[in-house]
Amino acid sequence: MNCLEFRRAIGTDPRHLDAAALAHRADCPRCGEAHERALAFERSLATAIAIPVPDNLAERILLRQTTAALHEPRARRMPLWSIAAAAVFAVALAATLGWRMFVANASLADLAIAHLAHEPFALSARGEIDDGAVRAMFAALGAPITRSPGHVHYLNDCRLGERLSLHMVMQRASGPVTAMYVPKRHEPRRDFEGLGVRGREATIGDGTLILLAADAREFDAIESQFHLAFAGGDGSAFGAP
Amino acid sequence: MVSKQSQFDALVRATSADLYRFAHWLCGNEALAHDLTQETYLRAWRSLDNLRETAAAKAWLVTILRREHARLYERKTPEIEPIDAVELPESDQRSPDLLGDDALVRRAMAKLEAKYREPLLMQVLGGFSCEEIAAELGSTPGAVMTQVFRARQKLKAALGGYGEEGKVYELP
Repeated sequence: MNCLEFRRAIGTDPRHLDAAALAHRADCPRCGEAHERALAFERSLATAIAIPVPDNLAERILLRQTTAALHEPRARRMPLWSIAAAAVFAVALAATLGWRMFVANASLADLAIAHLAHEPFALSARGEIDDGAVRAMFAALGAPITRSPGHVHYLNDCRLGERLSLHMVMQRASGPVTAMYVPKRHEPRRDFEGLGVRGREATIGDGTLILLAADAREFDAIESQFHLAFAGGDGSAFGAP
Repeated sequence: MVSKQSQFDALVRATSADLYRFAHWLCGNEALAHDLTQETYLRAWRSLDNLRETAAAKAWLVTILRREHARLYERKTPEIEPIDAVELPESDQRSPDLLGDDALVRRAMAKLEAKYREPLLMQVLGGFSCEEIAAELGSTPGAVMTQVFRARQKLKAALGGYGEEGKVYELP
């Protein structure tokens, strides 16, 4: 480094010289003196531009910030995972609320039809359920029967809305017939149809029987069998309308 | 674990004096400098999560401050005097002889064109390197080196007696 380069260096930043500049300073007394003058100027410059700061500046800044922070929304930024979780929750909530609204307003028949989609495999059940098991399930539901209502191929206790019911499937010549028995609920006898399903509901014993099938031709016979199961006898008094 | 508020407290106490001074030299008005500093820290608080390295804190704050200052001029033309017409404060605690020297340097500093004053302030007040100043100002390190060199030359010339090196060794 020569003197010109050194003077440029101290004119650019006299407080931070590289090794070459420091080596030149050590070898050149005139440049050493120039560096001393430059450092003195820097000191006076640094002192002069360090103008007085308002009293308690930091405290004033912090006071304004903490006051502002008190009025800020709590959660301004949500992590992606919480947004995703919130979205899932919202969908689940909407579905739940939607389902609850449906349940609150739906008829027993609507609920039964909707339930078919929950257990579609039931329609293909072929193994016959033992009579004793069928009676036991009815008894457990608080609706004891004296005899089986016929050949039952699927049996489960399921909820229809807020009520527990027995869900059965009977394989008949015309195809599977779903029978759902809801204790403590008394609906007037009627036939209905919806979503490609034909149905009937009727009060039998201390509850309502709902029959669902693609073909309704077995409904009368099955209804009679349920009357017999609850009341005993041959069922002739409970025939088709 | 250090809370966000503790981190911010430390940041304010470590940097607010120099940031206020920078604001003051930028706008030339005590009240405006105070407002700019307050606004800068309020914005810094809101985006404190973006500050990853404490070493970068000062440059980060200067960036916010310069943006705030620019916004000020975007919003309206403030009714303030040009900085070279401003009476700079002399009410610090130093002895009268030094006070006189400071006043001269401040007046010379205030008369510098902004393109020279700002990089020099960043270097002397902020301790930034020419590379850091260039990054902040959207310039090149070489251009910044020339600007701070010429800023010193002009100051020394204005103050007399200090200026010999500058006159002899003018950069191209």
